Formats: sequence, structure tokens, C-alpha cells
Amino acid sequence: MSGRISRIGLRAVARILPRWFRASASSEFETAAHACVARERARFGRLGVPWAWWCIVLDTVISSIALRREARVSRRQAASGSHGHAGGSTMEQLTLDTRRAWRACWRQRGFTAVAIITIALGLGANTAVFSVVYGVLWRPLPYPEAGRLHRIASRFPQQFQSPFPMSVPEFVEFRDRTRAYQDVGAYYIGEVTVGAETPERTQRALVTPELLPTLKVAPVLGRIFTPDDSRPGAADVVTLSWSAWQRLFAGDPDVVGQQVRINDVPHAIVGVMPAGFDLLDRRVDILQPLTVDPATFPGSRAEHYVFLIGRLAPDVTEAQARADADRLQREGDLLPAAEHVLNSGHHPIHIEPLGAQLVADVRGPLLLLQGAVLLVLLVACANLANLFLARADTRLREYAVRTALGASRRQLFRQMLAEGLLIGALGAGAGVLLAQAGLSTLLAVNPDAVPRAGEIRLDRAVLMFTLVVAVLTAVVMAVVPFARLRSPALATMVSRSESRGVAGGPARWRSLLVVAEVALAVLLVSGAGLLLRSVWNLTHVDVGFDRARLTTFSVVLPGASYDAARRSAFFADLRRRLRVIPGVEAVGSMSGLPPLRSMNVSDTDFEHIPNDRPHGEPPIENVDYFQTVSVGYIEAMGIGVARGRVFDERDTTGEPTVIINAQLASQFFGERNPLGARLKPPFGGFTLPWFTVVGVLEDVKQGGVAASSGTELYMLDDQITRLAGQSPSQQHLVVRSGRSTAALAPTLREAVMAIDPTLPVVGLRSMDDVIAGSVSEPRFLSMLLSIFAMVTLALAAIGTYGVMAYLVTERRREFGIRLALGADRGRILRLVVGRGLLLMFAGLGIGLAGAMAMGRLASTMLFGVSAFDPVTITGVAVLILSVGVAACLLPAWRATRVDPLITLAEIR
Amino acid sequence: MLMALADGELHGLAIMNAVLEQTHGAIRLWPAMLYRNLDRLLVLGYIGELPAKATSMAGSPRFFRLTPLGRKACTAEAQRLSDVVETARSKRLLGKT
Repeated sequence: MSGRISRIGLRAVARILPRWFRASASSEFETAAHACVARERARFGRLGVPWAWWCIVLDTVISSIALRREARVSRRQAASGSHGHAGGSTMEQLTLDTRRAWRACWRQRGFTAVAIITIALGLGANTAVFSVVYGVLWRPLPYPEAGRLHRIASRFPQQFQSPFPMSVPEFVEFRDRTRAYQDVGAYYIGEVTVGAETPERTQRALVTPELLPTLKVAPVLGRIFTPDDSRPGAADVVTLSWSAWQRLFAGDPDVVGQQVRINDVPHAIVGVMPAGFDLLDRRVDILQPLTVDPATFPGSRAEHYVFLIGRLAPDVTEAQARADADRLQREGDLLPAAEHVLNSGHHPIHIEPLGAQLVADVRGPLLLLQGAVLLVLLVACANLANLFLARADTRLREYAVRTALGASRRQLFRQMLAEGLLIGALGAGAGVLLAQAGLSTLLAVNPDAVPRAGEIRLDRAVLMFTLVVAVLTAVVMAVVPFARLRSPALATMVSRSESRGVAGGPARWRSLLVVAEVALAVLLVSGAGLLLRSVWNLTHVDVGFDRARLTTFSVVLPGASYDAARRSAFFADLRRRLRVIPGVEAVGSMSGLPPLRSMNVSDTDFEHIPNDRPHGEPPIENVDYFQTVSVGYIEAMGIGVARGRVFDERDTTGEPTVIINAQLASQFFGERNPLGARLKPPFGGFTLPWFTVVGVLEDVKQGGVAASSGTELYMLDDQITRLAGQSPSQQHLVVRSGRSTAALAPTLREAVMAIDPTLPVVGLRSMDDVIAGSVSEPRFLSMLLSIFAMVTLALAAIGTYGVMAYLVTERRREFGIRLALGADRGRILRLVVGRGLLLMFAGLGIGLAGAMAMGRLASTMLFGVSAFDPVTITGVAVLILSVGVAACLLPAWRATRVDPLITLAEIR
Repeated sequence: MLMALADGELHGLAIMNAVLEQTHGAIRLWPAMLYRNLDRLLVLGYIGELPAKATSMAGSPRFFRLTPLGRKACTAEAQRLSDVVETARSKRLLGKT
């Protein structure tokens, strides 16, 4: 059967060959082809058959093209009876054209280099940025049929804009009652300490057994979690990520069944995930089953900490899924509000495609960047057009002479095309190299500036697009001058003593191109300027504390071996040891490190605000941030005290006290004096005694340097431990010292090791670095935009130079006559520079108008600077004009060096 | 291909296999390439086609043999390559055999 198919196939392939050839070799062709297939099968096994077929088809196609061409050539030779040059084979002609093009390009090395650099810059930038945009925004997530995955969350529209996690009971209800999703799993991601001898902090995801089947991802070793694993009291099991497996167990194939310590508790390894597996770009290293205990549900309805991932059932659309969620919410509406269930009023369901929220923040900036590089490409194209027009002018005479000597229009066209192709190909090659280098540099310098950075690479589709655009641009540019060869003026040019170009049209076009280039450069430069100022503002914003000379790190105590009292004692001991290090001025500790904390939003009971909620319901006054601190913390951080006092040693054993920030004071106390007022934080279900407010601090940025500060409550670690039996397991230490972070680091590590050598020191760095790290995204964006702005500016300068140089060449004779008649050289200089400045001003005007229009669009990305910022606009204008003058000066200087005697002699 | 025919008359498929053997698998001829090159060698007069035998049926393979001109060309090429090898050896680019 297969023999017959292959015979039919071979006969079809043979039909590609010219008929006359087939007639003599047809049957043998088939025999030989069969022999080839057998030969390759013997060589490669089963794969050899398709390989042989591929080779046979390719060989037949190539050969038949060659055969037909040879036949045509010999026919033509027979007809003309000559072996003339023009009749050479296409191959020879092609070689000849390429050689000529190469020679022409080599003769004008300067021009060729500039053209290639221009293409390379435009395309390199475009390819690199498009690769980023594609990798981050558009490449599907690495799960099968990722488009059918949704992230499902809840919302509290009265309190927050952004989606909020669900509670475990809500997840179970959703999973059991949804009709739109075939699988629904839940996860919670947090940090844990892994290992025993050299423990490290890493990301751990608690997942329900449904999660991996929902994602359609299976472990490469071992098993997935079963419902038994998530029962309360189940054995401690763990699945490792590929990289954790490599790192902790050196890829040991017998890892399943071994033990690994997580937060100092031994866990049995049951599986290893495939390489590249991750949950929403969080670099998850450890998977553990999330305990689902229905016995605790009545009391845990308000504990929102899991997000859901659902896979749409076959044939269900996103709209149907939303309708189904509506149905569930309406069922919740029927229950009393106090039941705390999902309902359409104050606790609706939120559905979005998986990964959408991951890139939501960078979508705008990345698209802006893509727009910016398209402008760069546009400028590069304009510049290229300019260069080729200028060159055509100088070569018009050459073409005219060659036409006069009998070159056909066809031959001239071919040569121009060949030159365009050559330059385009070289430029594209350089552009790809540039893109590759640029991309790897960017990712190496800023690995965390964009989400999904691991999935960014130079894409084949992007590369193809780049090559096509490059070659097309160069070809169009090269061939455009061809249209002008029609000009009747051409014939008369041969007799001219000097090539003067065809005045008027092209010169005007070229001036327009320069104006456009300058305008685009202004657009980019002012955009970059505004962003740079934003970043400067962001890094110099008043964060509410004195960040100079401040070093911070954190220590996490495993719950298994440290209870609340031991935790508190540990940090007190550590602070004591740090304080005696030479050069250390002040030490403090806190539970949350500014400026990028997630909100605590906890209900707080204020004595002066009556609680009218039903009995047993918590008060609705939410405080954004809770900060558990040590005595001496406020002084160490240098936070300004607005009213009252800070914590001191009396408070560790005395009456319960709290300190609030200014925003909390104004939001919950208004005109009242907060000092002496009393409130209850939600520890232990409001069974604690009242806490008295003893001080008001200046606001500290907790939710990002660009955001408003939020309400904040400071409590003393010793009091919370004593009264509520709670103490944060992770504390951030701050050390104020004249010594640098690098110099302090070893001593700080030794102090921790001296108490417990198994504890890792996490995130040791200066507070300046912490702040700078919180603005890495805008910094990355402004850095890129600045590079593109500089490239555009350089291109615009080259364009201006080209036009002015051309102008000077064209008017050389005029300048000569003027000089001969006694014009002074300064006047000529002013004339040329003035002409250039005219173009600059035109471009500047258009560009600034465009920049203001664009600025309004980009205003969400600006911080502390308006889109019409006069300083930036002035700076841009000065920069552009000085670059313009610089670009005009060389041609202008050459204009003044014109020797009137030579010019006059030329005219005769 | 000329070298393959130096031993005697061969048909196309045999030439293909001989070339593969001579070059230790380095040159793999494919059918269209094979017959196109045979055609060219015929036109150049380096090889000749044997007249079909009376007993042969339609579609039986064509046999080729080297012409004196082809033998000369083959010898010249081999001589040239041998000279190249000699030169390379004299410059110690190759080891002694």
C-alpha cells in the first residue's frame, strides 16, 4: 500500500522536471529515488523517509529551475548566434550586479556606512522592543490552551478598586456550584525558608489538588497532590520546582521519597515540576497542598487569601462564564448580608483572563515604548530617503553618461536595485545583531523591571518582519531616484561641466524630510525628558523618613521552633547585639518594610466612633497598614513626630499604647485631638484592652512612592506579645550608621549567626537601594526612551547635515561669486546656518505641538511633572537647536572655504 | 561521477552508489541532480550512452561509459588534485602517508 502511495508521489514529483528531460529519464528517476529513500532509511531509521522525500523534492525543484534556465539560454544563443555579454545567464548577471553594487557601495564608503548604521539602529531598536512587547503582552502563558484559563477573585467595591482574594469556604462553594468551569483550583503564594544547613528564602505556593489538573501541567517525577493531601492532619508533603530540584538535590533522580526541611519542619518530597513551570511569574519553588478543613468554615469566611484559577468547560465562552458567576452572586443576594457570602452587592465575583493582571501595569508603558521605536524607525526611513536622494543627485551624471553610452534603463534599474538590496541586507544583519545584544543587555541590567522577563527572546516572526522591512525600505529608497531618470534634463546633463542636480523638487522634499525628522526627534526627546524628570521626582520624593545612611535586612523565624515569646526575645537580643557594633548609631525593627508593602486593611474599633453593626460583627473602620515596631524604631528611621511622643522603655511593661500617622488622625479624628483617645486593633477578636494613642507621626510611604500614604497604626512588639500572644515571625531590622552597607554586611550577618546559625539574612541592602528598587519599572522605561531619543536625535542631526552639505555643494558657485564680489565670510556662514536653523525651528514647532498632545496621553506615567513642563520644553529646545547648529557648522564652514578663483575659472 | 565510470560501464543508479562509496558517504547524489549532471557530461562529450540492447525492454536503465575525452579530463583533474596534495604536503600541511 505504502509502496503504491510512494510511487504515485514520486511520479508527481517527477512532473516538476521539464518534459523533454522527463522523457529521457522518467523511469530511472523513480528507481533512483526509491534507492535514495532506502539509503536514507538505512542511515536515519524511520526519520530517514521524510528526510529523503524532502531532499528529493528540493533537489528536483532546484534542478528543474536550472534545467529550464540552461535551455532558455541555449535557445537564445542559438537564435542570436552570438555569445554576447548581455545574454549571460541570470546567475552570471546576478554575480555581476552584486559585484558592481559592492564596488559602488565601497566607492562611497561614508554613505554606505551611514545608511547601514541608520537601518541597523532603526531596526535593531524595533526588533528588541517588539520582542519585549510580544514576550510580555502577547505570548500565551506556558500552559496548554492557556486562553481558556481564568483567574477568579472576589471584590469589595466599597473599599478597594483592585480584585481581592477569596476565602477557602468561598472557593469550595464556587468550585462545587459553577457550571462554566470544568476545573477550578486555588492557590496562595508566600515566602518560606527551605533547607537546613544553608537555609534560603524562597516562594512557596499552597495549592489545592485541583490546581495542576486545571493548568494541565503534570510533574515530571512523582505524583500530583490528591484530595487526601489537603485533608487536615495529612502528612507533610511537597513538590519541588525544577530549579529547586537542581539546586537543593543536584537533580537527583531518586529525589521522590526524600525529605526536605521547610520552615524547619521535615516534608516528604512527592514530585518534581517540569522546567519552566511557574505560577503567574512568581518564581514558585515549592508546591504544598493547601489544607481545606470544612470544620473551620463557619469561622474562616472572612479570611481572604486564595486566588482561583478555572479552566472553561468545552464550548463555554467568557461571557457565559460571567453570566454563570452572576447566577451564583444572585443566589448569595438572597442570604442575609451578615452571612458573608459572595453576592452582587458588596462582595461580587471578579473574572479575568489568567495573566491579564500580571501585565496590566506594564501594558501602557510597553505600548508607549513600541510607539517610540516606531518613531525611531520612521526617522530612520526618512533619513534613508534623504541619503539616497542626496546620492542620486551626485550620481545622476554617472547615470546620464552610462545611458549615453548605451546602457539600457533595465540595466540601470537592476544596478540600483542590487545596491539597495546589498545595503538593506547588511543593515538588517547589523540590526539583528544590535537587537540581540541590546535585548540581552537590557534583561541583564533590569531582570525584574518587567513581568514574564524569562519568556522574552528574539522571536523568529519578529526577525522575519525586520528583515522584510529592512530590505523593502532599502530597495524602495534605492529605486525611487530611478523615476527621475525619465527627466529630459538627463540628456543635457552630460554636456554640463558640473553636476548640479535637478534643482527644486528634490531639494524641497529633502528639507521637508529634515523638518519631519526634527519634529519626531523633538517628540521623543521631550517624552524622554519628562520621564527622566518623573523618575528623578520618584526617587527624591519625601518618603516620610530619613533614608540616608540606613541599612536594612530581615530575619524570618520558623514557627516550629520559635513561639511568639521566643520570637520577641530573639529580636530584642538581635537589636542589643547590633547596637554595640562600632559605628552603629541607632537600631530598630518593624514588621513591614516601606515603600512597597501590601495593605493589611484590618478592622479597628475606635472608642469615639459608635459601633452600630449587628452584635458580633466587626467594626467597619479599616486601617490600611499595621506596623509592629520596637522601642527606638521611630528614632532609628528618623520619622518626624507631629504630636505627642514616641515609644520608650516605659511602654514595654506599661499600659497599652499606640502611635498613629497623620493621615489616620485626620481621617478618623478630624478636628478632635487624637492624643489620649483609645482604640482596639483586631488582635484576638477585640478581646484586648483599649490602647491609648500617645503620638502622631508624619506619614510614611507604604504603598509605593507615587501613591498616597494611607492610614497607619504603630504598635509595640513587646505589648502585642504580652497582651495578644502574637509576634511577627518576620521582622525588618534598620541600622543607622556612618559606615556603608557593604562594610556593615559581614558584622550584621555575624550578629544573626551568633544567635542562631541556621537563620538566613534576607534582603540586606541600603534603604536608598530599597527606594530605588521600588521604581525600577519607570526607571527602565525612561532609560530605554532616553536611548531611543538619543538615537533619533543623532539620526536627525545626520539628516540635517546631509541637507546642508548638499545645499552648500549646490550653491558653491554662487558662494564663489559672492566672495569674489567682496562678500565677507561671516555673512556666508550666517546664510548657511540660518537656512539650517529655519528647518530646525519648523521641526521644533511641530514637534513641541505633537509632544504636548502626546503628553496628555502619557500623563498617567508622569509623576510630579506636567506634560507642559516649561523646564523640560526649554531644555529640549536648547538641545535640538544646538545639535542643529552643530550639524550645520561643518557645511557652512566649507561654504566659506570656497576659493573664488577656482569657482570663477570653472565657469569660464 | 567520471571516476565511477572509469571502471567500466554503469547505469545511473550504480553511478550514484559508486559515488557514495568512493567519497565514503560524503557526496549523496539525488535523482534529479544525478540525471541532470549525466546530461551535461553527455553534452560536453565526456561520457557516451551505450546503444540499447536488442533484448532490453522499454524502461530498462540506460548504460554510460567514459569517452577518451572524459578519461583525459578525469586524469587531468586527478593530476591537479594530486599536485595540490603534493604542495600541501611539502608545506607540511598534511602528514606523510
